[in-house]
Amino acid sequence: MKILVTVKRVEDYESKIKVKPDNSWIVTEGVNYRANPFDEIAVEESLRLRDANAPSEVVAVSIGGAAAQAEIRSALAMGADRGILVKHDGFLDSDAVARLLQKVIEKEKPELVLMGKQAVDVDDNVTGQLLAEYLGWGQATFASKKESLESAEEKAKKPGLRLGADKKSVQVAREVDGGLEVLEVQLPAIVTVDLRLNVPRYASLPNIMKAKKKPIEEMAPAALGVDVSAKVKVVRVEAPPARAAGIKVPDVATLVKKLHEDAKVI
Amino acid sequence: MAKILLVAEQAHGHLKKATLSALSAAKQLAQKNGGQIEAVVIGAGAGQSAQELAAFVSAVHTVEGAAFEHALAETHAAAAAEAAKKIGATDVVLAATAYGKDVAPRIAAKLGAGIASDILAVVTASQFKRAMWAGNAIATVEVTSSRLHRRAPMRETSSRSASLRRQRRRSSSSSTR
Repeated sequence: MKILVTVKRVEDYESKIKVKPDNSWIVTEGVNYRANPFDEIAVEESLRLRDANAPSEVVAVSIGGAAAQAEIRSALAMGADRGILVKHDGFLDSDAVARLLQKVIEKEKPELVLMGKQAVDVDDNVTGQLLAEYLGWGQATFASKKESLESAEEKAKKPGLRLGADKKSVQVAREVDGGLEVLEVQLPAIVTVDLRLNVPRYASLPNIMKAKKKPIEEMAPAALGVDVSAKVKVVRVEAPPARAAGIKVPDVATLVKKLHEDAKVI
Repeated sequence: MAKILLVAEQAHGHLKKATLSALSAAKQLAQKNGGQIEAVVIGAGAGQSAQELAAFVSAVHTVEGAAFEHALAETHAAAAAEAAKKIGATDVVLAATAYGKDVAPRIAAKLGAGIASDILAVVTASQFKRAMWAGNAIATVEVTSSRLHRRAPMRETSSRSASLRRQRRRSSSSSTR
């Protein structure tokens, strides 16, 4: 089977995020970039599914500037078979990304698409769902699993998604408010993954070298016939309000009074 | 006139508490665009949940039936989008729960609308504040054409505005009366 997996180039979550003085965006100079961590979990899951269901192929797709090649290479170094870069410089809203991915998927015709539930830059958490609707496919968001990340299944790198015997459906344990819910989705389908699905592997040095030889195809939004104008624009970016210093109160009566009158919580 | 559609979240005839947060966000939006709020309740027990909601909105629509028994994004989004079209909604509001996050983007895609997710505050009728970079930056986003929002009431961020919080408390206390 063919599995398509997305990899977005995002600011490293360990970098300090600072807002630009003119409030137009964040400061990008001196910030490290890496693959979106949720996407790495999706890549890991796609590799496990591929290896458990040979013959299969994993295609890693990224949308972004030329620099996003690095994130595709990191997916290839983890083990993906080939890459696709839809080249676009500048901001794209999630809706445009979903419509671009729709076109790539219509060309590639994968049976399963795995994506991170959100990218850790804009934190939208909508692209997978939009994409599923545009394609008219079923979806399973927030994929997780019942086994813990310390379990024997995880150590044996077993896939958390259970493919049906006829490979026409997949069972997904979803993280919902207050527990896990197991859905069976007909393929082709979009699955967006949550944090507790697996622990992504590190790329080994030989695999990093091998990844350099794997092909990356480039596509342009115009060639895909997609108008990438945004439905959602970012008009201003601000730093979050600084947290006010705490105070000490002399006794319980004052505390209750302050909670009631100032904080208005009781 | 602007019309706001609130997509309620319920299970077995009981509204989920998060619906009240979405309601307070809808009310703030109504203050900005002078709109009227109508609600749609989907799934088994929708009729009963609708009664609970009736006092707070100008009209409640219900969608019941075997196809909507499970809270699946595919069916529920289709029903909500249908309701939005029927009443001519300019905005659709959901709570940013697992359900809202699952369903809202599919409604947006069906309506060709932009979506602002996890909003923290309503700035104008088309601008909303939301957290990005895990709360390290607060962005104001502008949603063009028809709009769709979902709000994150339960997000524990320092950026949550006091006025939103108060409004939420008012609406939840009035529901227990």
